[in-house]
Amino acid sequence: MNSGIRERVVRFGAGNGLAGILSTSRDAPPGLPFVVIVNAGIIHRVGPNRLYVDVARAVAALGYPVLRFDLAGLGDSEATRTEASLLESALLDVNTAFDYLASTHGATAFLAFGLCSGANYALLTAFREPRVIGVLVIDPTVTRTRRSVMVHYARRLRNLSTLRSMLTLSHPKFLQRIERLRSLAVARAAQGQSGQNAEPPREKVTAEDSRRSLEQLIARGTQLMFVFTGGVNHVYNYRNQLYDLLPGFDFRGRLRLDYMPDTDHTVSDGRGRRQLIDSVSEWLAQSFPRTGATDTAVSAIVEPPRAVVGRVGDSP
Amino acid sequence: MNLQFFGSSSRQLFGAYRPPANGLPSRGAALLCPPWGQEYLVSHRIFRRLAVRLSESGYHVLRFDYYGTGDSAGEREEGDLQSWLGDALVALEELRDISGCQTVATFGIRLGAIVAWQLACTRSDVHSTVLWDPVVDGSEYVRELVKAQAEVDRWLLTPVRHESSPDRAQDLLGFPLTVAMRRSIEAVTPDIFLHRTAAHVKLFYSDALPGQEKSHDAFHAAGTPFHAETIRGQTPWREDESIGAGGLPVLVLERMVEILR
Repeated sequence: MNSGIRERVVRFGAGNGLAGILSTSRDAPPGLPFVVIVNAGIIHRVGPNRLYVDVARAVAALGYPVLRFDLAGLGDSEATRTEASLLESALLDVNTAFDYLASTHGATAFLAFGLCSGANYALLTAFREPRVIGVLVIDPTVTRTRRSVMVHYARRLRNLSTLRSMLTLSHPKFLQRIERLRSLAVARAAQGQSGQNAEPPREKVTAEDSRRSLEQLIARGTQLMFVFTGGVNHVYNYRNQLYDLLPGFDFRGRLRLDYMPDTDHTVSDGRGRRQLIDSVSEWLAQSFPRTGATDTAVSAIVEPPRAVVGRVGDSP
Repeated sequence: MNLQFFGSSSRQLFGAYRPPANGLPSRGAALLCPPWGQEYLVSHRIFRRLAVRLSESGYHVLRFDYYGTGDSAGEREEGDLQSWLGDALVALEELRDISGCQTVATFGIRLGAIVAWQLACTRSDVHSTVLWDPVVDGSEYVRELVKAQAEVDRWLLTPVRHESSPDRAQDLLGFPLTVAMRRSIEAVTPDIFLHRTAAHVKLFYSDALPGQEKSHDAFHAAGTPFHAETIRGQTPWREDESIGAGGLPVLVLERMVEILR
């Protein structure tokens, strides 16, 4: 670990039930935004293959304080009894983390970071919470485009393992789906017997909802960094798919889009991880420069640095 | 539960300590030794649950991360089984210090079981060691990892650029296996159980393991009494679809707590 980094355990929330690690630099200028990292799936705060630890330390070394913590019921955080849905509970926990950092460290601005479900939580938090001035997400949920469907099946058909397994009905995804259907049938049968609904209905988020929320984020001056990896190439498989999903959307130069087709969903390979950390560091330095702290960071949002924005080259 | 960093400032280790729950009188102390890589991730929730159950049985419990793993300082590429043993010794001292207990039981899963066993061999204050699916054939373990990675790669449409060469770390299921770590793992054979210990040895298996019979032969040859049982069911480190956190094998955990009483 970088010798200039200090890490300490923090407890906060009701009954100090939420637990996390706060990484700070010994010579950080005051006023930089705090980065808050949200769990990916049910993996505890170290992140998938320790990705969150690596990112937190690299970012803290640049001067940005970083909190990676466990949502209630995950890792070392206590589960809470609540009527709230899983989603609402998670968003509440992230807000609680912001409040904790505000009251104990004087934090006024935050960057929300997450991978996969953590990316979705980070985005949803930003939609609601004006204190979020930047969002950094890896593989958030997106939908396919006609082109991405064609790219996917074209690649699949060129893959010998896929062809062989299709003929023998032994493709792992096919077997997993069969197993899921079997489990679902068992769960439904149990549900029928108990008369209880095992899973509450999910709230539907439409493409129009997402577009409107993103527009509000951009209008607010929030800086965005989206990263898509090869781990989700069944859904996202060419560099500018995000732009095709939002035709005519004006990011006003506040989006950095990185496409990393040759790393996996959790950026587990050493080379991919170094590349990600370099990109994140670059985005932070350009969007939220060290000099001048939060005031400068806010003004940087109003006048975004042109170097990090714009549509990148379109090559699948 | 008290989350804390401990150890020297140059080698900070992370630990989670639980005293006996609800003011129960102390029955002893237990140190939990985690495994490596993906198995570390899936075992986190299991160890947390085991710590809760042991605490509810009156034990002081310390979970910890080796240097270069979890929340501890260090990079993923740092460490091997020898340095892990050093970290475990520091953790054992920490547990004795916090709990005031003179003796300790060690628990380990997979490669963590090897560390737990080595503690039992090197320290006379370890009175029991509980080993769950211990990796006793290190070479076979590495071969299984390589095979599992190849199976993942086979289905990828855009292959990941794994770093792989004899003198560098090899990316295996999301973690870099360094040359030093690989060598230390490959040095593990059932013969490690030829070393005699005065600690009570309890072995738990989720299924038949490579080297299991030879391990038992080694215990017999060393004259070490041991108890072994197989509880088939969930094996979190062998799930078909990895979500980074396996199911909770409740039966095994309950049996472990029960057998320590």
